Amino acid sequence: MAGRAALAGLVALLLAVPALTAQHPYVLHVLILSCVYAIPAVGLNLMLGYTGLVSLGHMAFAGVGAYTAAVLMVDARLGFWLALPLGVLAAAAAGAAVGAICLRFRTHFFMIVTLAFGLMLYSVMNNWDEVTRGAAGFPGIPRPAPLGGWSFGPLPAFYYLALGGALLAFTVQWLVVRSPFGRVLLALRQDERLARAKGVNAMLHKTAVFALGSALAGLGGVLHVSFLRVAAPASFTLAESINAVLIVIIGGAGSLAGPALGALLFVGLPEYLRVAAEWRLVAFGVLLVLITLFAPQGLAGLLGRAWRRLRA
Amino acid sequence: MSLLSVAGLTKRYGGIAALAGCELEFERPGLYGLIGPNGAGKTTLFDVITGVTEPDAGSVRIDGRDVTRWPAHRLAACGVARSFQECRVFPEFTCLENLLFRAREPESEALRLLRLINLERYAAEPAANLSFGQRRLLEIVGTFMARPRVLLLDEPAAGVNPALLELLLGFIRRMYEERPLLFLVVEHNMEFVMALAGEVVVMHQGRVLERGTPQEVQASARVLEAYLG
Repeated sequence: MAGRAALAGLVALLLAVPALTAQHPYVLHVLILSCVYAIPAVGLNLMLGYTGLVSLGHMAFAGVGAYTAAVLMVDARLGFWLALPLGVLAAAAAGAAVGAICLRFRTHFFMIVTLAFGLMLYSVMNNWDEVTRGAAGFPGIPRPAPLGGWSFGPLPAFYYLALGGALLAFTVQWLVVRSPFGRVLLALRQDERLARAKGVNAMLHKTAVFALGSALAGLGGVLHVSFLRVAAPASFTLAESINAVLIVIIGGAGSLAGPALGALLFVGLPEYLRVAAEWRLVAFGVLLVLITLFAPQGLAGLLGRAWRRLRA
Repeated sequence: MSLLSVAGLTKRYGGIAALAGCELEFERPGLYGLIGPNGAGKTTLFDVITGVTEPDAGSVRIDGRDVTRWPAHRLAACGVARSFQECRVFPEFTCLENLLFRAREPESEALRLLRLINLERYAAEPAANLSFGQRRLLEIVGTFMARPRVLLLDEPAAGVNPALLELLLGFIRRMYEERPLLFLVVEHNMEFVMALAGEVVVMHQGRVLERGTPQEVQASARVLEAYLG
């Protein structure tokens, strides 16, 4: 009950942010980027946190979604609201196809194969000049067309769009985790051989979660490039995929709130400290060591413990 | 038509033949013991029957249906359940959640079975908090929740202390009385297997060496020779 009230309060606060920070558009900028990072992280959390699949190519699928939407919007003159679901669908299809191959491997072999596919997809984005405009990036991506007189050009409106996307992602995560499908994912992480002996088609379920995780990556990717108005291969590199893993682990792998906390810290901390982005990886490296040693359940685990102590 | 039969089953690991044309047939439900010296091929036979390992040659039939090379999950759906030598439960799930995972039996049955093995008070406890022997009991109880027709237990007594062993023996006997299905139990604990099984199959070098009542098998010179080498 108290948890539900706290959640409602948090959502109300998030909705009120544009009004509260009207003098500081910078805050909205940071929050939009946090949402854009949190959405793929939710997808990776379902794979890594709940199913135990550590993918090192996750952000490449965000790129598949982003570039699909970019081509559809700029070259095919499709509207954002049609390009968005198609981009998500393309990412899901790519995830299912690549997943079906990668999932034939286990543990570190799986990680290496996902890394390889991530690099391949990145190379396509970086080099297929005719379609992706290559390393210089894909310019001219529009912000979403106004919906019912509501324009998404101004920052607050786009903030609501990104927030809506994030809330959708977290709702999907919540529904999955408490469904029978979610139980199977948890079982697969704990003991795949036992799950199979109990009648679980492991390959089918893992491919499904890979596709779902990639779809969420695609959603984040489309919002990302629509916000920046340019798609650049640099947003979908191996380093970005590793960042996604860091966000999930530092936030708390296998916890519902983990991706949000991880993304907020990842985007907010360097901005707050006013340090160059290059130092972010150093700070996060140190943080990762500390979290692994002292809070294996991540920030979500720490907050959960504090919350329980507060209520006791 | 036999309940479970394997014919010409062969499986090689490098130069070692874990199964060398193994022939075995079970016509009726019953409590069968499967024994043999280390390396006789008992666990490999289990793994092939339950779809964990693919055989190099030969066939597995259940109710006359050829199920050779079926994946584990399909075999489970067709009524084959097993426990593992190394004891497998889902550590983060509670005991009750472990029993209800993919179960065909209802929750009331899960609670009744937990009561039978004195684990009822741990129903809401994560399985990781149980002792090894208790986890073993939980794993075996879990195999009944799928309402199997063929149940393979791989060394259920290994690592279980004498008090729990008595409980386990009583539990398996009781389950057999309640629902006569095909139990195949691999075991190194001779006392346990002789007390439990109505019929014992002895494997040696990837084949069936002897088959009979516990008394017959114990009296067999061939079995003695296989064990003493």
